Amino acid sequence: MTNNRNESIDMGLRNFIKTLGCMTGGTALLATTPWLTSCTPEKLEEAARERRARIGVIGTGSRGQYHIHNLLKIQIAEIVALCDIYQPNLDAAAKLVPGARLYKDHRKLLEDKDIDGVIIATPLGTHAALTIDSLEAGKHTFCEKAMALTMDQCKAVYDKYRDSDRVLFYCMQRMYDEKYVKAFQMIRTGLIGDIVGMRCHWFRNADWRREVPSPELERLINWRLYRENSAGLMTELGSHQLEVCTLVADKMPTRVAGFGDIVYWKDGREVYDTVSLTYQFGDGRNIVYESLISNKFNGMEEQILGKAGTVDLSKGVYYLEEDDLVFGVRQLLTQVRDGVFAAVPTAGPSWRPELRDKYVPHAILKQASGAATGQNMIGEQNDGSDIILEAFCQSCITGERARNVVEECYSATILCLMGNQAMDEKRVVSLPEEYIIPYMKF
Amino acid sequence: MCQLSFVLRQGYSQYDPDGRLFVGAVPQLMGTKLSGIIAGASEGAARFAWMEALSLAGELEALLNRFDPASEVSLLNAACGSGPRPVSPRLEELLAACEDYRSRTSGLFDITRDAASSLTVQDGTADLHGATLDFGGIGKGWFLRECRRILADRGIRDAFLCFGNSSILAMGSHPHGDCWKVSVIDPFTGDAVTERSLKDASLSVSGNRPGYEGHIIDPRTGAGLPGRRITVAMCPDPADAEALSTCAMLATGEELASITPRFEGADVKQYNY
Ligand SMILES: NC(=O)c1ccc[n+]([C@@H]2O[C@H](COP(=O)([O-])OP(=O)(O)OC[C@H]3O[C@@H](n4cnc5c(N)ncnc54)[C@H](O)[C@@H]3O)[C@@H](O)[C@H]2O)c1
Repeated sequence: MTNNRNESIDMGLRNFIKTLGCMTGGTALLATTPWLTSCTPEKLEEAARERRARIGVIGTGSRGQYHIHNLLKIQIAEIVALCDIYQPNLDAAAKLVPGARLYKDHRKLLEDKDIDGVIIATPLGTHAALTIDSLEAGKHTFCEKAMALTMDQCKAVYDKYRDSDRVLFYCMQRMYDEKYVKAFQMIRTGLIGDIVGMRCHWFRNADWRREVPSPELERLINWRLYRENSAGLMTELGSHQLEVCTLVADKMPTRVAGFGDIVYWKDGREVYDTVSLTYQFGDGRNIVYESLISNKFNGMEEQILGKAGTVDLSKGVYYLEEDDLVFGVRQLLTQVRDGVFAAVPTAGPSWRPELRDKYVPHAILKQASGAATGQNMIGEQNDGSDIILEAFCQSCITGERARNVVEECYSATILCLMGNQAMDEKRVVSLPEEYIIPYMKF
Repeated sequence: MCQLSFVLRQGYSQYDPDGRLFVGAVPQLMGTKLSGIIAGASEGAARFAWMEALSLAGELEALLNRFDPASEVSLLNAACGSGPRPVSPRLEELLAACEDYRSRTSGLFDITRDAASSLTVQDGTADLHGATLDFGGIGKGWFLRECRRILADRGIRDAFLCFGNSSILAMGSHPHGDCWKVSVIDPFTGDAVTERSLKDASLSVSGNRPGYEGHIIDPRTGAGLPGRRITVAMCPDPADAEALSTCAMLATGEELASITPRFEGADVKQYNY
């Protein structure tokens, strides 16, 4: 009887952990990426034998529906309830999940006893209140990033989480994206030597606006543009990128300076369309961060700069400062490994140090993985979002928390909000004492 | 971390037991970089052979490196006008080989880069008669010849060594083919000039590169060779290939046609554009 269930066990998460395990011998990897210890294949099998996680989704807009699509593919999950205050979005989601119980008030959904886990995909301004309500209602909770709109709200959520025994996830999907995890691991083992700095940027050319059927809905639908609900580029985009920086550095920057403004989209919005900041760690290293949404030439990158090389996390490639393997031989090596027999462009007039090669990109993963361009507002395929969701569903059954995910989201969100403050007040902002949590290292 | 950056500077090597595949690379060796793949050998055989080859390269460098004032060649060059000087048996042997190449290439391959010079090499001494020596055009070939011996001694049959792009030693064949295939790239355009299949053979490529022209000196005129020519020499012996690709840079088509048959199994082509 259990066999049937076993065969249909979710392959995404299982393969993810398996390939990561194979790369480095399982436990070693899990030791450097402790958040993955909650979702090993053995635990997944055990959870799957038990039952399915009964999930309710609060906020069924574009991201909420994206999660619903993923949830429908997750064997250990069952969507039982949906909630949205905006009827058209609730209707759209109800079509995807016929039979789900529908709510217009999240408190009613939280009273539903037959729900194990709640997914919150609402505007940022609502995250703290909804998350706290959900934990208080005894639900395991998965909330979209960022953590909250203000530092006080972040602290309130963190304290609630600390005092609760419920599972809490934030959608920090890079922590569950294979190419990132492998890169973290490779950086830890010294691939690019000592880390000397980081540079991240996210450029788009789109106004973030959505069509509004009638004017009174402007702030509900275009919530991203107004400060009552949004912290702009920093939380929407920067939070993911700052999070991987702190993860790689295993440290928290202590101060930030920067400039932000509304340069192009002067359409009544309140959040910056252009930001440029420098975060500094206590030891002097910097994260240089830039984002704007009126030019997409530079796309999205997260560069970790090491004395011996550079990793571009978002593209899943690395470059070495001294690339000792002649290009053609590296190609030959790949061919031999892949069982390909073909000519390699090896020969040519002699290579000399003064004629150094261009930086050659080396793939982090053996198989190409979809390198995200960062242009999709809803989310990319295979960017870890489905995997982290699956890990959450598993935790809904086992009750086991994923280590560091909440702490990483907390740290990243605090950094985003410090950045906004620095830009608003045009001064250097240091990390306020009262928001330091034990997880943070300096 | 520190340990790894050290390894990076010193080059690295890696063995994949599943594929029985060894790869090694050294970023700085005899003025360029060396990469190699050894297929189908045990880890021990591959690693020992690789280490032996590297230590041999160190010896050759101590002997031939013109940019190291303490190398034997530098010392000899420094004393070039002062009559016969004692030389090590190794250098004596190499000098004699170069003299042989000079005569077989009708004077075009010339480590003194001066047609009027004459070397006297005898009884453990060499007299440069005022000339200076540059082994840049042959050192890599000797090294690869020694590598071939070292690898064969360890029972290794299939290997591909690439020395600074321009000198290749291909022993046996690719694990998934019956030879090793390489294409020669025009450094000015990035296009493939020609493709070669190598089986127990060596390939040497000479030519100018953008920003590095005129480094091949015509011994008849003393002038650097400008322009865009690539020469490709394929021979059983790596040192022969090296001498021939250099010589072909300077030779006319007819000269080359008469020189090539003096080298066993040689196939030499010039590409002008
Ligand atoms: N992790 C990622 O890569 C990623 C990508 C896109 C969006 N997001 C996040 O997802 C969240 C939602 O973004 P979106 O683009 O889907 O927005 P959206 O406006 O499309 O959807 C939000 C939905 O929440 C509903 N809502 C608002 N307040 C509510 C409440 N109190 N109770 C119930 N429903 C409520 C709205 O009616 C709307 O349908 C944001 O926090 C955003 O930052 C994350």
